Amino acid sequence: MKKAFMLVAALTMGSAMAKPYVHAADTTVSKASDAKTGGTIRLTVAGDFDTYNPFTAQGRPNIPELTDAGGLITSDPNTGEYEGYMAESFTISPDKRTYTFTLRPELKWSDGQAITADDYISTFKIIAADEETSLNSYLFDNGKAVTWKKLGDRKLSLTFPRATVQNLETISYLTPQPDHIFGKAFGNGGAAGVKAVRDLWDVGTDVSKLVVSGPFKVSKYARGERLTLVKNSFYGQWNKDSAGKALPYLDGLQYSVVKDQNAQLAQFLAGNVDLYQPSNRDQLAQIVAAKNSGKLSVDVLANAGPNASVDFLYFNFNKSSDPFKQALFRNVKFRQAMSMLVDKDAIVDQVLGGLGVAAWTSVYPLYKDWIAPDVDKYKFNPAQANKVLDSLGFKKRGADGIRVDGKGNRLSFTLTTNGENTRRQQMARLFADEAKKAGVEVKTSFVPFNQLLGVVYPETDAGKLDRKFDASITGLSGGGFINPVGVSASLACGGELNGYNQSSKCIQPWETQQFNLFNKSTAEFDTAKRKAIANQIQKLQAENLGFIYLASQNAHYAWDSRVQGEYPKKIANPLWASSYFGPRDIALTWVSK
Amino acid sequence: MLPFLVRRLLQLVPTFILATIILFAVVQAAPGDFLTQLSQNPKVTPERIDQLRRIYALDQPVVVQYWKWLTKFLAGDLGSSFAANRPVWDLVAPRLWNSLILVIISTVLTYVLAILIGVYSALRPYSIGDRIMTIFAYFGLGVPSFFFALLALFFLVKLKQNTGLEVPISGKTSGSLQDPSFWQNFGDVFLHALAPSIILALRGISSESRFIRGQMMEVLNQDYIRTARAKGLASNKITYKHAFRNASLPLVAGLGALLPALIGGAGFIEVVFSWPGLTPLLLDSLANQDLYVIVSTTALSTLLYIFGNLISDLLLAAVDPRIRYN
Repeated sequence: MKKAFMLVAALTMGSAMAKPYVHAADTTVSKASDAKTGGTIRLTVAGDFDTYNPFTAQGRPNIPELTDAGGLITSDPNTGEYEGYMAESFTISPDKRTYTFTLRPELKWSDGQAITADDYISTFKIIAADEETSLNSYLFDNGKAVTWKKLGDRKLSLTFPRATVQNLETISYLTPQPDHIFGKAFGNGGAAGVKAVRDLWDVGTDVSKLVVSGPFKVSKYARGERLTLVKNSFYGQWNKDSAGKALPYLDGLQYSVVKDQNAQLAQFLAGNVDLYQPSNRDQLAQIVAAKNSGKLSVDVLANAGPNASVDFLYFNFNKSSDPFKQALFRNVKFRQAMSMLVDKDAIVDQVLGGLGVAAWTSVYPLYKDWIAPDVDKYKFNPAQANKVLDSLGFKKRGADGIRVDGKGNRLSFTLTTNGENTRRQQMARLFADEAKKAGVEVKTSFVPFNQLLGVVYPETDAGKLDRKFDASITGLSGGGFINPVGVSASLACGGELNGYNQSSKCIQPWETQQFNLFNKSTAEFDTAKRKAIANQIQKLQAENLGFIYLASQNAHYAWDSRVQGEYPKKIANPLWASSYFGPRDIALTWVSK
Repeated sequence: MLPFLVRRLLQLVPTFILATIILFAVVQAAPGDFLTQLSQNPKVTPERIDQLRRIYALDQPVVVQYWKWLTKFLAGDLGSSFAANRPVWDLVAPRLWNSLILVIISTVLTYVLAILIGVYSALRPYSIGDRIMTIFAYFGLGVPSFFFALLALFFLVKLKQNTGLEVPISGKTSGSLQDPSFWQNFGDVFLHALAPSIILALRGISSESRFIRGQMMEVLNQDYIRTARAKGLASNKITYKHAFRNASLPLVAGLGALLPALIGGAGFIEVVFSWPGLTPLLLDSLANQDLYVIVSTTALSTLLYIFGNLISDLLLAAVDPRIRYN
């Protein structure tokens, strides 16, 4: 009933009455009356944080994301519907392009200043001006810019170039930053403004100068040791639980820097860490064994479903310095043969310990209702792969068993992935073994993730036409649930996350078709029709294999039993789980002792 | 003594220069240039790369580069870390101190226990106690330290699960202390350092105790010990004043070398116990090809090594009346 009221309230124009955001009672298993206030949750993080600056932060977890409240709207995990969050109400214009928001009057930054329309406007300006910031692409649609208007201190509107189903999702990602800090530095904008913004808040900044919107703020950070976050009491002025109590319940969070995975697990097994996400079968087994023997009081949610992430293999279409390889990698027959050398069952069994799902298209296995039929077209079939390679002219085998074509070109390439990720390394080795049997030499190379990103996504236009790698395995995670067929960044030619083609021009017709279909799908508000378009996109992907999708790993969650307030079973799955805190909203999390 | 010191300090100069030339040459000879890697990184603008090229004089011959680095280093400027975008010294100083905490505790442990065990074994050779110590020593020498560390981790987790007894297993501080006093902090850090220090000391105890046992047994068979015994000197006095003092000379000589060796050797222990020492920083720096962190910290340990040797010589002079440095 309360929920229905909230939705109606959110969809009507706001009144002047104070309206804090009330976290719905059905998003936690705890009764609001049971929840205790106070306590600290202890977590681990594998590496140091780079910056406090929300515009330069990359990688996960990062401090700005941990201290950010969220956006104007948020989605309800029970219904998937968007509702006002920082906005007490919003309206959508008839052409579905303009969204008008009225902010809650109680919104405040952690320094006590009010959060106003100016904060949003200056944040939008900075994001639009700074091409390097991660949210930049959200303010553009096919090169056309999103525009915004301040309609009052607490009122603003955003107009999108097109009506798309993802606009609401986009708005939910655009979180405000303090205008009195970043807007001031940005000044009149331009390159100097962007630089001034990027120069703020490096990791050496005095933490008392940081201004955030989220439930927690930084209290202390010792590199290599620990990040301590404490409650931001201003958050509770506009965030209440279903009984009207100020949130968050917790006093703070503590992240210890624990580089070694064994040590991370040991800390959880010793009861020194509250939240843990087992990433493989061995870790899960140890936790379950400790729980079953009564030595550890923890709750375990095993196999909550496949993660909203996938690993994939791709070949570099932009290798102008090596015409042989460039032509080979662009040849669809070659990619089909390679796909038939990928044993996804073995990947799930051996690499993921059976706790995973094979992937075939850009739709993560998590969204199983959205996966098109018959997309497992080029599944593991070494005999057929051999035939295709023969037909491509790689008939003879050299003394080392590697195929050679008529001109003496060896069928050999290097497969790169990141050195920190043993899962991808094992996938690479499994593929290399199968490939070798078929006369394809796959040399594996493992480099640090940042270096890999630098090689796969070069900065300069010249660099994009001659990228310095052959093939790579990386992955993608996150993305929305409104149109889970993918994101423009990975489906557009030259898109920021398009691993196979970084040149801005589409090289093969299917690339253009795929992107056009994707654009069509984003403008289709009828879910059934949108699914039909998604199916067409997936058929193109299954046939052309720009990305050869490998597998999704299942998610498991474990937490100390003293940590309470997780999502109910129905929504405790990777779709709604937080990447930092697991199946729970940290504001509604409390500790029982 | 003074002329000796001056001479040794003068010798230090060519030694350090030679060592750093070799270090520089090795890093330069390694395939790939860190700027090439950096130029592939979309986060770094071409202007920034040009700027870095100028700052580090990478457009100039290696000799000039070395000279610039050396003069900066001697002036106390270790260069800048690319990954953290901060001076190397800011990153290294706290790490160096953290590593030293482990080194100091484990060195004290090593020497106290190794001497006790070594002397005990030498006085009762081939007794049951000696044999047990021998077996332990072989284990200590044979099993890699990081494996011991993982075993210790496992053991400490089981200890906590089964008895509730808590020995910190990772990190340097517990974080549960809000604004701790100096002594609270001292105790907290000491407790956290305990497990890694003990693991770190195991290898040293094993080798040094065997060494002392051998030395002691040799000295105990010397004529002057027999003479002392014949004169009816007290057994303790013979053991500790006459025999141990002579047996310990090579031990003292090795003490100085322990300093840099232990910092290098603390390595994987620091990683396993998440101790924020130099090794995790160096490993990260290698992964990021953070050149100046690598070169400058290695140069620092070279300095430590040289000073360690000097300290060894001075200590040797202090304990061995036959050695005079003038």
